Amino acid sequence: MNQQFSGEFKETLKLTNTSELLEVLVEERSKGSLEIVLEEEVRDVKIDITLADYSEVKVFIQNNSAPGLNIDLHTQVKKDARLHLGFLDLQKTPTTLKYLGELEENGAYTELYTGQLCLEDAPKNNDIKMLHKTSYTYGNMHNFAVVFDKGYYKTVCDGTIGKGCPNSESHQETRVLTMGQGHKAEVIPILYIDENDVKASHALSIGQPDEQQLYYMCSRGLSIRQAIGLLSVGYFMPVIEFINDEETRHSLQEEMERRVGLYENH
Amino acid sequence: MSALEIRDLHVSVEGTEILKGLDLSVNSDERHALMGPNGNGKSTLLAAIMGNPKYTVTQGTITFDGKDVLSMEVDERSKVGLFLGMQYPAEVPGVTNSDFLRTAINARREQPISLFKFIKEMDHAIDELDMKTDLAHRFLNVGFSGGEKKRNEIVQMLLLKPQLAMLDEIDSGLDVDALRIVSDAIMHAQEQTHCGLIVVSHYARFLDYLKPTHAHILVDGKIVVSGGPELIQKVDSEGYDWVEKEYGVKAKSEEKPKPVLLESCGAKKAA
Repeated sequence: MNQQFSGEFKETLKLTNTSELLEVLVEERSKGSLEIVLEEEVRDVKIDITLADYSEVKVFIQNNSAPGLNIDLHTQVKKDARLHLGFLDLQKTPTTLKYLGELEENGAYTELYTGQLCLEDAPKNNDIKMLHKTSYTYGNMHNFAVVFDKGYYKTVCDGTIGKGCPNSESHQETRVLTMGQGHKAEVIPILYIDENDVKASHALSIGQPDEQQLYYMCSRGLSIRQAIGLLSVGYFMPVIEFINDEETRHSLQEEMERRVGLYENH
Repeated sequence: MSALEIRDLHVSVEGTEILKGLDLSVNSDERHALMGPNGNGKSTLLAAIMGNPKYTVTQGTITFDGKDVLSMEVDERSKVGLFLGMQYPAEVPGVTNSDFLRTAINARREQPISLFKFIKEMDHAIDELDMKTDLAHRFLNVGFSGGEKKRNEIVQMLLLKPQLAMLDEIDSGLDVDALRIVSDAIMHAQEQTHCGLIVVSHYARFLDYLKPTHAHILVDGKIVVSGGPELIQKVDSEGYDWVEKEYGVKAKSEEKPKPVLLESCGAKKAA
């Protein structure tokens, strides 16, 4: 499927085939938002998104795949174009995400947010790379995951600024909240920097909820499960906020709250 | 009518006994001031009632309306009507005040509270405590000043409507005006719900506003003297020395945190 957007736009695409190939081109100086929903039947999907010069797009990808998902995501951002990309995955099935973000020309900007819920028998495996190909490019990756009993989460997060790319910035953070027993989380942050006059940073946290935070929330009547659920929701909110449509955002937030156990009383 | 009964309570933390056989009764509509030198067990008492996992009850009983509090989980204690306004409220990034409170209210209801009713009650509480209108959307206690955190505890108290509220140095960090606002809110809440109150404070002005019905002095893990408002006046004018002399007790001195020695520096010295 090929899609081309120009001017101002706000679109939703629903992918329903087992295997999908989607190519998106956002034309020069266009601005808008795109929601891509990967429906239950989808198993393998390849998405290529190209932003032409001076364009600006917010893209939100929601995984609803039932059997498990392999997603190959590739973005190319041109001169002074800005891409905000969010990927939300609350499914109880395995996901393999491969992402390559190419910052091709001066002023190219990409900000990626991923939010994933990892349950038993539903490993999440990510290979994420942001590649700076010239100077004055900006890449920022934010990965959030909540891993419950016997869940498995692995992310390799690579920010590469090669030679000839001065005044570029590569930043990344990965926050993993682990709960229960028998879970495993592996995060490999990588910064390959082969240039001077750049800015780069990474932040990583993996751990159980703070005991005093849990106690504080429980002291107001939340069960441990609800307190953990609320903390989990907090982790995913930066990704949910990608959704422009308020009704969709609320509905997704409710679904998320249900999945993390916030409504166990009702 | 609610009643908290504590009998012969012994509480330890990290193997050290802090409370050494404490008795206390608090009923609806009563306001109990709990005083004493720092480091002698006041906060420990409130934390133990609320079930803080850091504290171990080794002996004694706590009942609330005849129910055994010590057999309850922390959230159950809250649902039966206990509330603790903490001395150092935890910061919880990523969780907004409104999401947190709505979840807390719904945890004690059969049907979730309507959004309209919740917003109305929250706005009213924020207004009553003279807090910024964006409080609802801010993350729980994150970036709050000390005084804001304390006032946020009272906002929660107003919304959760407990049967017994324990306030641990809720006055610290409050300026003169905020002190009045907080005191009025607490008194108003008690008028409406008839809750019992236990207030830990060293600040006579705060206690003047709250007009306690009972006062207790806790020294070395036990309540050594109880009385009425006159006790507060005596402590304010004379301190606690007379308690040690008259009752033959010795206050525990507050342990100051030991400095952490870094020992050798990791950097290599230049040759």
